[in-house]
Amino acid sequence: MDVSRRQFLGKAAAVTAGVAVMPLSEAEAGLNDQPPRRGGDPNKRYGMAIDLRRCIGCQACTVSCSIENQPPVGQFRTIVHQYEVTDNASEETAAVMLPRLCNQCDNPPCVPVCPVQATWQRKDGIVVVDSDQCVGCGYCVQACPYDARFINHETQVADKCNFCVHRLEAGLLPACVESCVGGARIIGDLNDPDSHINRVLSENYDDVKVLKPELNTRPHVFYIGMTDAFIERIQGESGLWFDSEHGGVMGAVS
Amino acid sequence: MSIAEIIVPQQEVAWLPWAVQYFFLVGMAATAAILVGVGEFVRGGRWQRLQAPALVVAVSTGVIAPIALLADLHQPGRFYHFYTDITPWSWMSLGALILPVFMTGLLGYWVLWQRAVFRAEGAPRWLSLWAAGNWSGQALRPWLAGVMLMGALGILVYTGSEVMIVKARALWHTEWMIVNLALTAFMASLAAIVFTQARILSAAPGDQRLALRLFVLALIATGAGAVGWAVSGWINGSVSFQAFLRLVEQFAYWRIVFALSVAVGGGLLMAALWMLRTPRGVARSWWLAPLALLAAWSFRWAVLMDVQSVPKYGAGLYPYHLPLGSDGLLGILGVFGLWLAVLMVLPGIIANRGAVHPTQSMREVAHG
Repeated sequence: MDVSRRQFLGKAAAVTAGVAVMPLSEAEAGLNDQPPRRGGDPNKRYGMAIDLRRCIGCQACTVSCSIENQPPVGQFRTIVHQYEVTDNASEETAAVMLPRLCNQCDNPPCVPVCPVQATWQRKDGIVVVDSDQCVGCGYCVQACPYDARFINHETQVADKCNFCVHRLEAGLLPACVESCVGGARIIGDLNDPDSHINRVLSENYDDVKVLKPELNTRPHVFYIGMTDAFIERIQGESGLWFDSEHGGVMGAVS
Repeated sequence: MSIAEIIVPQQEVAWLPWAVQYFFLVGMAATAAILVGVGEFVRGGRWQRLQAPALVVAVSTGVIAPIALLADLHQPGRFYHFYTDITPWSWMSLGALILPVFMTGLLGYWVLWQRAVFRAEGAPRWLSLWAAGNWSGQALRPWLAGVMLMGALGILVYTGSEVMIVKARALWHTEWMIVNLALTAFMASLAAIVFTQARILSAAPGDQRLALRLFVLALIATGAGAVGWAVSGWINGSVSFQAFLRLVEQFAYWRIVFALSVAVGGGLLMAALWMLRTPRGVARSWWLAPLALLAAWSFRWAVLMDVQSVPKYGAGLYPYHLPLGSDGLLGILGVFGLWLAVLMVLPGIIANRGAVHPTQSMREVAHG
């Protein structure tokens, strides 16, 4: 303690400021900002329209995706959520189908959190994961507001829908689109004014919705024919099987 | 209109109980290190005498914390990607840079602090190299204390921030997350210091009293932090507080969490205040430490694990069953076992119980 407090503070500030500022000054993006997009065709912007009026809940998309992308049993890149909706006045019930997948957001919150740049957005808008680079920290799983990501039980890294980018690049449709019996899923280039997806979206302009728009993630999976009650968190009864089959402690006391 | 979920998948937890262990231990290490650092720069015997127990807490938790962090990765063997692909826009990547800086400051400071003790009092035979040579190394001490202090602040800021920025988990998305993780960490490390003084290092009653008073301060600050989050959340309509209100309203589990937090926090504060009144109470206050540690640990469990059972889109709560293996109970017990193992060796070194040639009292030297 032969250094005076003032001298010490000056030196300490110099040392630690250097450590703290170094990585920031090199950065092109600020903390938690979107890093530059890389790869993919800069002239395209892929998006998907899902016409709920055409979805019958057959889960053909779920099955074909699982065959194409081989996630472990019980884990899904896409799945059709199914709900029973009852009108309280008439007591009439209806089934609602809601196909879910990665929204390929324009402001994807999963990307800037990744500590090793294992996930990024391509210039064509598709958010991809490099499974050789991912450390499996699960931060992107937390950051996705749509529960679209998961830690793959077999690879132990982050996994998600990537619009079957390998098929798109080979001129094929994603497996889920290819197999959809009702033609409910439409994928295409939003930058092309004549694309099928743009035609469908403009024809149904007043009936196009995205999930959780207030989070400003700018999802690029557009739902047609969706009731407002499904835009935000479901206010309703949770899946009963959570308690019965799995003896859920959390659900049981609710 | 009422909605019932018929087919919805369950989202598993992505952060495992290892994350709770890491946040618990690194928070204690950082806050105890701050107290060690204060002892370096604030002259006055009491703060300097707090250094030995604070070092026991900071070093013992500090060396275990990174192990828990590594285990929370699903691909721990790829940890070097943090350093081959530094990502300045990611809070977690920033944390991967701060952690080694903090560890260098903490362990470096301890090595020199201990060297001063050993050189003056004589080191145990098996540690004689620690005191070898003519170089005292003490000129470096304030520098390392500075690195340790800045690193500790960095740890507290980054751990809170990396949780706070996650908008998708509404409960986490509040600046109070940083404050309340830090305050509960102070509460835990001071509880551990009170315990270490009384049961391991046999500290003087006056020194125990200082630690107990700081513990009371940390408890009051923690309470104020919780009230601050609630009141500001109420006034500003923060998403975090709204999410909490919804959970407490809808789920008995969260009502229990809330009631237990208030009861344990209030009980600890009352008991600590009561024990402060008499020397006998101060001497017995170490009884509070296990409960305080459990409270700080449970806060992290609620924040990290229970919040992951709240669906981001679906209704209800996802069930979570603690696995018995390394991703669950075994991992939790293993980390605490490792901590205990370190605590069996470390205090003996710091208190220099194996000194061969005692020439001067440890207190005079270590703080001179």
